[in-house]
Amino acid sequence: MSLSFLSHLRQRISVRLTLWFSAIFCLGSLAILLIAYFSLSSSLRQQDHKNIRAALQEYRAQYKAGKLIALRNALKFEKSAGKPNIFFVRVAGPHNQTLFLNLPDQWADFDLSRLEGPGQFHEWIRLKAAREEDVLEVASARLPDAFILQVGKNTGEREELLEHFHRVALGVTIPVILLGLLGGQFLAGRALRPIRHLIHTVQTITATGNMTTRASVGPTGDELDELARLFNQMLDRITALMNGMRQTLDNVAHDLRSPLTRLRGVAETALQVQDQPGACQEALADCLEEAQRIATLINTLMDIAEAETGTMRLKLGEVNLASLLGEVKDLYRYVADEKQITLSASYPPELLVTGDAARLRQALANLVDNAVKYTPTGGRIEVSAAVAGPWRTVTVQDNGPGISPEDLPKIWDRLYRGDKSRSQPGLGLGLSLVKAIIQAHGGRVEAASRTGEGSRFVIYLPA
Amino acid sequence: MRILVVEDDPKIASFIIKGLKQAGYAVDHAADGQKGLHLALTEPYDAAVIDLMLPKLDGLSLIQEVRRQKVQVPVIILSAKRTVDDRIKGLQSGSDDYLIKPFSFSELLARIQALLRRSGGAAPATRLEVGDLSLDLITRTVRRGNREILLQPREFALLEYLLRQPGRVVSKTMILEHVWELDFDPQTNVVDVLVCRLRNKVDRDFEPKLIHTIRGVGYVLKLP
Repeated sequence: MSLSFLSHLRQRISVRLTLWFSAIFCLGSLAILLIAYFSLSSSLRQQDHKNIRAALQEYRAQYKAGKLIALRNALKFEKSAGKPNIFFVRVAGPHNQTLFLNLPDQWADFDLSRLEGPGQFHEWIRLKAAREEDVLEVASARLPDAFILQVGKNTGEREELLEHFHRVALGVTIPVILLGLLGGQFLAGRALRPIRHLIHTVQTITATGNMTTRASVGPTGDELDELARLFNQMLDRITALMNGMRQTLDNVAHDLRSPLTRLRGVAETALQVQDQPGACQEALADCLEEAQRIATLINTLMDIAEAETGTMRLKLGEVNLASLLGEVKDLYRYVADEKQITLSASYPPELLVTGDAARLRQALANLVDNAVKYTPTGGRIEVSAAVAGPWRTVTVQDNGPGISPEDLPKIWDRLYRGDKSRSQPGLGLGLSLVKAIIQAHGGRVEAASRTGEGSRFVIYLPA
Repeated sequence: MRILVVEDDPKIASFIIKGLKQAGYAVDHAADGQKGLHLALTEPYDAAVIDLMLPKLDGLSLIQEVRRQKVQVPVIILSAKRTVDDRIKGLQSGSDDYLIKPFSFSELLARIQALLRRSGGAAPATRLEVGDLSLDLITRTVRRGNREILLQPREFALLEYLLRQPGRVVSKTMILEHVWELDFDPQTNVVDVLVCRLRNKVDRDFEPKLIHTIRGVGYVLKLP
């Protein structure tokens, strides 16, 4: 369990960010400490070496001037003058046997025998004290008479200083790591705050189903704010779609109740009639017709819902409105004939739009259907199409009874049927479907009417 | 003639089976896709009626598998899905026809019979006749008894369609599909009006009447 908890922890981006940040911070601090340590130690050593070399030059000059006596006197003079005697001086014979040795008293016991012997001549020699931490650094030079002069200095102080530095560095390591972790956590927390808000919003929506919750958008406009803004936009869109769907579902349920009630009624009445087989036949046929109407109603409602919510899949292609109008006119020719309606059409031979031919045909057919339905016997319907700027228009004009001004805005609504049209068969969905299809194509619809003179419907489609 | 029905809804299945048996066909029924596939691959059928939404194996996959195994039985899809895309997908999968629920049994029967005739490969007729009504497809003339009847193109198309299915009910949807090639239902009864006109020309002044309305279903052309 603890393992899975750990791996879960490792998967969290905030933990990873924190660890990365503190790792980089600690490594950086460590590097700075190391660089400081090495540059300090090297500059201290250079300083020591410079001093030793200067002393070596000085004593060598004295030796040149008056051999060992002069050197010894100089050292004595230095001591008596109160100059702190800080240099170790050794003069050795050609075979590196000690002839003279000046070792400051306070210095610990060094193993000086390591300096002796013919093979021990090096420019620089380091000698460690036997017990204490002192280090003697010795520079050597050949004298003109093949003797060896060695000058050294106890650099234990330097080592002590570096040792101290070491301890301080070790001492700050844990605070540095802690600081790194805290800083990392702070930064990660700050950087991920919008994400946490977003997660919280999603969790709230998932848990409560409350679609009105929105993620908070910060003022900086950075990537995470952009994400939150887009997320909110997506929620808006989903909400709109959901409301549309819910509305449609409510409407469909409502619209189905009336035909289902009729269906029930017919069946119930028929069941109560005992001895008339003819009546039963009649009722069954009524039921079939009603069932057919319900099926058509569902299909049309689904078409409208799809077109309105933007989920209708249009098979877009180049469509010649002229040929669609030809087909529609052909479809309604006989119906118009029956009612002695003159159905005339005038349009250019080619009027191209981009659209779904089947859907546009359906829309145009519904428009003409509507006109044929409401134009009285002996009336006149004129269908025309034209180019109007960026639009391609189709106009259906009739000389029917017209639509009253208060009804006019409602005619595109689903299932709205004006008082005069209630006597006509139909679903009251034709014009809503026309509007939905045309709008799904990026176009618009217009209706104008004068009571008693007729109505004019115009659809505008983008070319 | 033997027909396979793959449909999981027991009521729909039973009314299809009952109707097909009454029409003189032998019928096998499978209530899920796997059983349907097994039957389609092992038994020789003259036609298959397959629902799209089936348990265990959906109808489209079933038909694709049947076609992959080179079984050429004519297939009619039954579906509650109605969009053009679904229809095209269904036909592309290798089915021969597509019927949307709710459907009338007469329409299903008519479509099955049309498929059986198509796969039977009868020589294309040049002359269609029922009783004393005849239609010549080459000269495009129609006669009843010895009187020639002048028909407009859509009337001619409708009569030809009815004469090709004598005695069988054709629905309004089928007429819309065949006479106007429309795939939607116009709100006004354009079909009724066309049938009415045709009736006036070929039936009104003659006996016996040949074109009959079956309420709630469609029309049939037959001798009484």
